[in-house]
Parts: sequence; structure tokens; C-alpha cells
Amino acid sequence: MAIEITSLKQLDATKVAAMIAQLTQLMAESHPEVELTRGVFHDLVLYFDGVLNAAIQENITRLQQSNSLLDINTDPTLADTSVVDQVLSNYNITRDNGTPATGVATVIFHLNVTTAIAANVRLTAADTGVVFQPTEAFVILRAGNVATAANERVMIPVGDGTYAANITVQATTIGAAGNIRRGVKLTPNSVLNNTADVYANTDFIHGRDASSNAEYLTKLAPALAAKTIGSRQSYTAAILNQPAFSNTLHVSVLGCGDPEQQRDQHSLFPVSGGGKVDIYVQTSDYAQLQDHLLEATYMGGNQWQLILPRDTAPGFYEVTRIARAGDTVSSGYGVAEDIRNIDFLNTDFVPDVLYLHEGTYTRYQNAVIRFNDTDAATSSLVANESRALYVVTTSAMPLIAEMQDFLSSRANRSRSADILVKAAVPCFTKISFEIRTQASDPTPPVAEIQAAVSAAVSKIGFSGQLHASVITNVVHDYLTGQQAVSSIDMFGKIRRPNGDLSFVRDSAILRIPTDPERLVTGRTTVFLTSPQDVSISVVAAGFLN
Amino acid sequence: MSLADYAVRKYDFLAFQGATPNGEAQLDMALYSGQTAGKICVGAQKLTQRWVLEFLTEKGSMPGLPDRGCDFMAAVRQGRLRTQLNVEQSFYASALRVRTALQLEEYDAMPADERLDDAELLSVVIGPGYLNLRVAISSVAGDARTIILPVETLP
Repeated sequence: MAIEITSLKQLDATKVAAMIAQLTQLMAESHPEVELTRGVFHDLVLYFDGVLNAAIQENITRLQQSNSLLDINTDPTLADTSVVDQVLSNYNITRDNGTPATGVATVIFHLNVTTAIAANVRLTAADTGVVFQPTEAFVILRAGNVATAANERVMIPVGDGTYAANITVQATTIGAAGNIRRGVKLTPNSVLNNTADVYANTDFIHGRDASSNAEYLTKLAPALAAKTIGSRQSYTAAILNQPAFSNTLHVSVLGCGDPEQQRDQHSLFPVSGGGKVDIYVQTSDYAQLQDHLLEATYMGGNQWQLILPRDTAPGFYEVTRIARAGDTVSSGYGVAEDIRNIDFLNTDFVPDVLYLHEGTYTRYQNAVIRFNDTDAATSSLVANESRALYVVTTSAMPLIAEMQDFLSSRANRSRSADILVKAAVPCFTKISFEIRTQASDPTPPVAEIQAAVSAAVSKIGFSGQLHASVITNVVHDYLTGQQAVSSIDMFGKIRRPNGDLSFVRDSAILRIPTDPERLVTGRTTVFLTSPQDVSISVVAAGFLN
Repeated sequence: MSLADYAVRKYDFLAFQGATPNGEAQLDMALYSGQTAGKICVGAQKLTQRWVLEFLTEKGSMPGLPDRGCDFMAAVRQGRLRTQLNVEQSFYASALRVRTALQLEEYDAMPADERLDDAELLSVVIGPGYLNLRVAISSVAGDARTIILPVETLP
């Protein structure tokens, strides 16, 4: 909203009338001989003086409103953005003007020949229509070569006669619309040499819309806190103050005295000794899916085994799909065994982690995954020797490793606390509801509603409760006429840090159980709902009118 | 009425120059002319000005004062006044609104010849691109003044 009145029609009639009445009174007192009822003097002098004074007064009010933190907090939508920027700059906060989405795209090549990909190639996402471009010009080398420059990539044989390489692309526009899902096809604006296909290798992240005044103000509390390790707000401030982590959605800091803090009870006596801090973070609206091309070892029978090292998918939640390299269509093979472990090898700082579940969803976690490939011909395979490439899809919160490394680095490490960063315990939440409508009503925008519901759930954070009213509030913004929401069903799957699953379901309030022994409470667990997790049925309501 | 009757009255600026006490005269809509630096007026002239200003103000055209004016000029602008009957209907509907508005703000101390009694449409001439209204404006004191309103229309 511009702070200045640009048209006199923007003025509130009541304020104009009040100003004219005030001027009339002043004029009547100083010049009682002038006629002040409607007429020439009234319309040409009193009226315009009143209107212009009302405009000046309105400008003053808006300026005061924008300059006052109290007024900005009361109603952020009324404040002028440029003035709010100036006010909050006093607290060292800068507005998030939005960022373009970035991600890794896989390019499939017909032949094993060196291929160049220009930086100005425009790749259009099949679902959202958002256009992406490579972050730089890439040179894709033949398989077996060694990349020596930053923009060089080496082809990997997929196994079906084609070759693959990953390049980094970035949306040409700012906004969350660029956060496309893994597997979305990217169509080049011209035929690329030697290229068979391009698709998103990971869920794209970092795409954010410019923040509104209301969102901007939520950064005030951590901004006012000292950028040091101390109170909960200080931890949050220290994290959000880093540009790489400034888009972190929610932070939950648990330390001495919190029932979820078990690492400070490792002594002989079962009491909290302090000095341990667990930081649970939600860095993305929902779990990011990412493909990894990994080599699996044949174990005998139909069983294969692969290893997910700690740096491949730091803090990942689960493996959602395993498929033969090049297979982008099938649902793949299910995970037979998921064996987690903790790997502190060659780390500068080793946090105190005694039990496996204390280290789950941290950057130190690794895993051995076993699965059954029922399609592979096994007659020629040798157990523990034969190997094959598989595409492994993981779901995870991004930036867990980077955040842990930042807080554990020698320069930033707390002198008094052992800090362990964990991805928030996931409650994978599926939401379904009906939109009741009548034939004459327009079809509701289902895709937009799915995205809005997903965004609303991501704003809940570590509160432990998801209310159905959150969903109805969002959905009603997209409904017209007599359309209404009904039959809301919320179903959550919680993957506990020890690997167990528990389920919650409700139609009114979905609650995270309080189970601190297994590190599942509202302060460790968040609801994760992607747009695809929102099911909407449009049904005829049969209204009688 | 003598000159002394007008001496202590509240006055308004004269917006229509060239008025004469008797007979017909063409008026210039101006606050001042080459000969004068502006004049003031009271009595019937002030009443006539008040009525004309209100009648020719299109309702909603004054930001902040949504109730000012009437619908006559809106009808003219939209080309809805094609026949004499159209004009008469629109005139009387608007004149009723103007009368109500003016009478509402008149006060007890206001002289009778400055208070509106009614406005009557005496004749209408519809020409190509213009509309002439001959209107008699009468005050509570009983005297009346006749004015001719030339209004441009869609040709």
C-alpha cells in the first residue's frame, strides 16, 4: 500500500465530513458574516480545504501508523511497506524479498559424447509452467572422464543405453511456485543436442514469495534477541541471522529441564546434568524428496543392500522409493530393512550421543537399506559381489548438515553446551475433505486449494495440534456462493526416532501424543503435508434453493 | 425591501456575473471579471446560486460528500434525456431531492427570501447538442426568479 493518498476518492467520507464541520465551525467563529451552507463559498473554499486537510491528516495517520511498532503489530496490512522496512531496519532486520527456487535437474542423454548445455536454455516445468535456467553453462563429459572445472559434469551410464548427468537450475522468477516436486518433467524451449529428457531430480527448495508485513514482523522477536547462544530466542536468532538459514520456518530449542532432553542424563544418576541442547528445525514446508543414484550389492535370493552414507541424505526421514536406474515411472521396490547407525568418523566435534534414537534425523545418521528386487535375473549374480545401480529416493528436511556444521564449527561452537541439530520428528499428514457445491457454482480451484492448505499446515510448527478450522479458514477463501467444506479427515503417520511408526487420526483436532521417552511431543514433532497429500472431493450438495 | 434589509446578512460569493434586477441578462459563470475583483451576494441571488449549484452537481462527484447533488446531470451525461417527458420526469425527481437537501440545512435566522420554497420547470427546449431549461425558483418570502439553464447534451 502506498503511504500517500493518490486520489481523494480514497478518503473516508466520515473523516471528510468531520473536517469540513471543523473548518465550518472555525470560519463561523472568525467570519460570522459569511454564508456557510452549501453555496459558492462552501463548495469552492470550505469543501476543498476540508478534503485536502482530510487527505493531509490521513497521510499523517498512515505515517504514524507505519512508524509505530505498536500500530504495525496491531494491523500490519495498513502499514506502508517502505516505512516498515525503515522501522525494522533499526533492529537489523531486512525484508525477505523472496528468492527463486533452485534445484538439481537430471538430463538424460542418448549417446556417450561430450555435450554442452548453454546457460540461456529455458526449461519449463510441466505442472506449474515456471521457467528455469541453468545456473551456468555446463559441459557434460563422456563417462569415465574426470571433471576438472566447476561447470563440468560426468555422464553416468543409466543401464538402458542412455546416460545421465545432474545440473543445477534456478527459476527465472521469484516465488514459491518454483518449488516443483521431484520427477516433474522440464521441457526445453529448443531441441537440445543429444538430450532425451530433462526432469527434476529433487524437490526444489528455496523458492519463497516476498514476505508480507505480517510475516516480516515475526522476525522481530529473534531480531531483538542477542545473536549469541543463551536463551531459546538467542538460539533462534543465531540461526536465522545466517543468510543460508534465514528461511527456516520453525525452531524448537530443548535443553536442561525439558523432558525431551535425554542426552544430559547420561551420567550414573538419572538427573539432568545440563550442557546439552537439542535443536529441532523445520526448514521446509514439507519433506523434500531427493533422488540418489547408488550402487547396491546383491545379497542372495532377491535381496539387495545399499548404504546411505551420512553425507548423502543428512538427517533423512525415510526411503520412499527404490527403482532400477532409469526407471522414473514404476513405484519401485519397497524397503525390507532400514538399519540406522551413527557415524562420527573424522568429525571435529563429536556430540554426546549414547543411544541410536538420540542421533536419528541428525547429520551424523547413516543407514543400511535392504530391499527385494523381484525383477532382476539372479541366475548369474554372485552374492556379496554382484552390484547394480539403483535410484533411491529419500525424504528429508534440507540444510540439517549445514546447520549442524555451522553450530559445531570452532568459531561458533558454544563453550558451555553440546548442540545437536535434528530434523523435526515427522508427522506425515494426509488431509482429505469434501467441497459441497451446487451445479451453478464454478468449479473450485483444487490445485490452488491444495497448495494453500499445505502452506497453512507448514505455518503451524511446534504447537502439537492441527485444528480442522485451520483448513476451513484457508479453503473458504477459494469458495464462492453456497460452497462449503465438510467431512474433514486428518491422518498422521509419525515416524519416531527409534524407527517405530504410530498413527493419529481425527476430524477436529489432530494432536501429537506426549511421549517424551521416545522423543515424540509437540515440541519435537511437526505436521508435514505436501500439496499432493491434500485430497479434495467436489460433491453435489443438493441445496434446496 | 430597502438596501438596509440586506446590510447585516450572511453573504456568499457571486458566481454568476452580470445579473440585473429586472429583465433578461446573459450571465457569466465566473468569480470575477475584467472589471471587478469579485462580488458578494445575498437574497434571491444567493438562493438561486445555492439551487443551481446543487442541481448541476452530479451525485457522487464530490469525494467525501457522497450525498451532495442529484441525478439530473448523470441522466444528461448518459444521454437518457431524449424527449420533453424524459426531461420533466428527471427534473422533478432531482428538484425534489435538491429541495429536501437545501431545506434541511436552512436555519431559523435565515431570511425568508433566501429560503427555498420550490423550483418549477417552466419550459424545455431540446436542441442538437444542448438542452435549455427555464426554471422559476421561488422563496419562502413569495418572490420568484426565473433562470435559463443551458446544458450541453450528446448531439
